[in-house]
Amino acid sequence: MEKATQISIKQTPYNLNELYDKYAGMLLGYLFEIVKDIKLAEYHLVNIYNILPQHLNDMNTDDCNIWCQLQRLAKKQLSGVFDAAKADDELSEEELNVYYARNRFIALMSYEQKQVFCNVYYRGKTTAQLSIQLNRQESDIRKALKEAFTIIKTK
Amino acid sequence: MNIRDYIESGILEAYVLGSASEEEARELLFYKEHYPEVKNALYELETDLERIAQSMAIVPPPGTFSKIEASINELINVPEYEPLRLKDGPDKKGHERDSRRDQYIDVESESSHIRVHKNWKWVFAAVFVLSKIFLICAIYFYLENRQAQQQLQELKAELQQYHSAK
Repeated sequence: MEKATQISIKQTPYNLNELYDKYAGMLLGYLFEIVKDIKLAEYHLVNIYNILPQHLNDMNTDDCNIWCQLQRLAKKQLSGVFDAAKADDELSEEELNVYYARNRFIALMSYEQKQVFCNVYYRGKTTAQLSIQLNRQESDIRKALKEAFTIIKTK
Repeated sequence: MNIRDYIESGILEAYVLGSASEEEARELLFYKEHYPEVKNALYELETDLERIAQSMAIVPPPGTFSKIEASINELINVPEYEPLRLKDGPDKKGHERDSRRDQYIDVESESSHIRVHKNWKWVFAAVFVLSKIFLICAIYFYLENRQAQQQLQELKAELQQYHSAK
């Protein structure tokens, strides 16, 4: 007789289907901005959703926005890609331009705000790493990040 | 610490982007629990971050979810080995207690299908072909036999006619 498939009885607010319907597009867009290859982005998307069932309970019990948790999971999944990028120093204006195309908010930021936001959001760098890389105080890095968010909020 | 300064320091932004250290994250979660201002500010930032992601969303190609489902189903079908443990006594109704049954429900009820190894398909094919050959042989020999019986009856009739004529 075939072994019956089983699932935990605990009811969770979000199931995989709902998470896919609501966030797969956002996650694919985010992954695409990082890897700049739609096929590779889709590959990472599938991998992330494959490991998602292991994190569903945490995601549903943790009092944190689901998208933020998904984004953190994506960053963990892409740690290899980020490690390769970490070898690079400051992003050049051309490299920053790559991120302008689809993120209308970035174009409104100053050079320093762009540098901080893109490195943190798209390259998974911590504010501590950026402060060393850019030779600035960590408080200045956070201030630039806050200003970047203020631009996003107001536009 | 002035909570307004804390919110203005940019630590919340670093946290929502996952770039805060573990210690900073722990501290922030503590403040979030105790200060509604921090909780509200964090909620707003998370909403802003979601807004950025929404504005840059790409519709996944059709079939992406099928790939995910297929991978997950593969994982589910891997047999799960239960750890050895002492058996509990039967319950009041005389049924064996099973703690795993208490925690889980069957999504698929008992299946009416069986699974066999792929090699069996050749055996089944051979049995099918042989059964057809036997069927053809049986029909052939039945017809042969019926014809022989008819001939025998005719010969008997002829023989009787011959004897009666004599």
